[in-house]
Amino acid sequence: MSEKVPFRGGGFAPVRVRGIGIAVFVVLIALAEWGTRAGWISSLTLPRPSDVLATFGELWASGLLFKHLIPSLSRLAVGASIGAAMGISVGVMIGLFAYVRAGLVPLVAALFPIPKIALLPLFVIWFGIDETSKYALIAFGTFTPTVVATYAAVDNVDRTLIRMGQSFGLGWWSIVRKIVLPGAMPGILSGLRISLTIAIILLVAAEMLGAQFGVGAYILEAGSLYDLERLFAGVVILSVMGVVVSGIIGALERRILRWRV
Amino acid sequence: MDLKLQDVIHRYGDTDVLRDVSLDIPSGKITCIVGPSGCGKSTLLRLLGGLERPSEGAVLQLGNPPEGCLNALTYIFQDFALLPWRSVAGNVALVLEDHKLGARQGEIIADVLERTRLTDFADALPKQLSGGMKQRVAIARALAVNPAVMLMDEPLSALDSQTRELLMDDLVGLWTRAPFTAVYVTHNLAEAVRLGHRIVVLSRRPGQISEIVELDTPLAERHHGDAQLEAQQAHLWGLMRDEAAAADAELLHV
Repeated sequence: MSEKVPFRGGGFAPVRVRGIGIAVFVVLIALAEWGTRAGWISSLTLPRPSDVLATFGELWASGLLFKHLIPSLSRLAVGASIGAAMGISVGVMIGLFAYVRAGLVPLVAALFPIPKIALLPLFVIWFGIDETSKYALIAFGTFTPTVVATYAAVDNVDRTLIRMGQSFGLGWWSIVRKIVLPGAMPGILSGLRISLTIAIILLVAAEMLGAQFGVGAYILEAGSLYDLERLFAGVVILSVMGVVVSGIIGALERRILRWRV
Repeated sequence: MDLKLQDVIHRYGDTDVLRDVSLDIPSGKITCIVGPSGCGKSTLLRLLGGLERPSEGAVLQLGNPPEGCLNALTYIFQDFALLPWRSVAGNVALVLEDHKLGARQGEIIADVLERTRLTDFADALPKQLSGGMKQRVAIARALAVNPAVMLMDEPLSALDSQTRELLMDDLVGLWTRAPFTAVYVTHNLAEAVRLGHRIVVLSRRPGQISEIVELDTPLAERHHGDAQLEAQQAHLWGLMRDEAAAADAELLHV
């Protein structure tokens, strides 16, 4: 008697499938469009996607889109860069120095769970109602997750490589620059994925207070008027920002981490 | 430049790893250190290169390193320790950059890559290389700093047996053209009788020197499957067998 040996080895390996992500979006939007047109989703529950698109078109045509988008993007860029730069520096210091670790890890653990939005009034008192307080809020929110990701990444750098550097008499700074930092880069980049997303969330929070223009201000205004089309148009902008940030980091990873197996 | 271990005792916590080890490492020769697993041979090597401090006793450096030596005590590691984000040439450059050599750096890299037959792979990344090639890159990197003593920690143990044979030939070739001083730690007796001028046998933990065997046959005349080498290997195995069995049956207290 002969029987084929059953195949048992499939699955459990990530395979890159193209197009499915877009298909999910298309199906969901088509469902919403169909539901609102057919009437089994009331217009109070969900705005019609085509109406949101029309609102978006108006926003574009009137030039208001960039009036809102440009201040938002510059706040995001400045705040997130400050937060990420400080987060990476402090994270590396924690990874390298026992005293810094002992002193700062509990502090970071204490700061991390504070909803940064709750501190907004404090930031307004410290930095005024203008741009600085918005930068500070975004920077602060980006800082803590970056620190945690960075020092974990530094901890994970292969110790044998560091021993190798020492055994060849490399200077301390050379070891940090040429071995520790590149070795920690994968962890730092995946940390940035999370912290930059948090920066977008905080951008909206910051603009809900004392901003005339900005995506957050736009959403807040639409929300208070229960103007769901505009609300959704704003939310779509935020989603697109998230996708773009994730795309940029993905491109960076492919470029910087080409050496990974 | 010679190295000398003087009454070295080493402990991790309460466990003695090495006890009363005194040993001379003469220049221009390859000294092999063999012993059962856990006998402290790798620890001995880390002491020799200053990566660890002995609990008692001293590691001495006799004489001055040769002219043009950039890193007197240079390791070759079992797991290669190559930076995966640097190319072959970049990995060699790493250990030269701090010395600010200017144009000399490029010459040294070209020279060592040529000696290890890696010139064509200068721009390859470690992930593209086989295990044997990776270890040749590590050897090139060690040669680049013109070391006084090469400290080799099981350099061939991560490789398959065919690659190991090829690399042993490479090492013999390198030594024959320009004799270097080396301490070669291994658990593989075939490697020891093939490459060692002197073979130091350590007992199981706490490691003590139980015998030193001198081999007079020139390296270039030793070949794979040589009857004389086999006999020496059998003799060494006779010395180590019981120790190795006892070491194998020991519980680890880590």
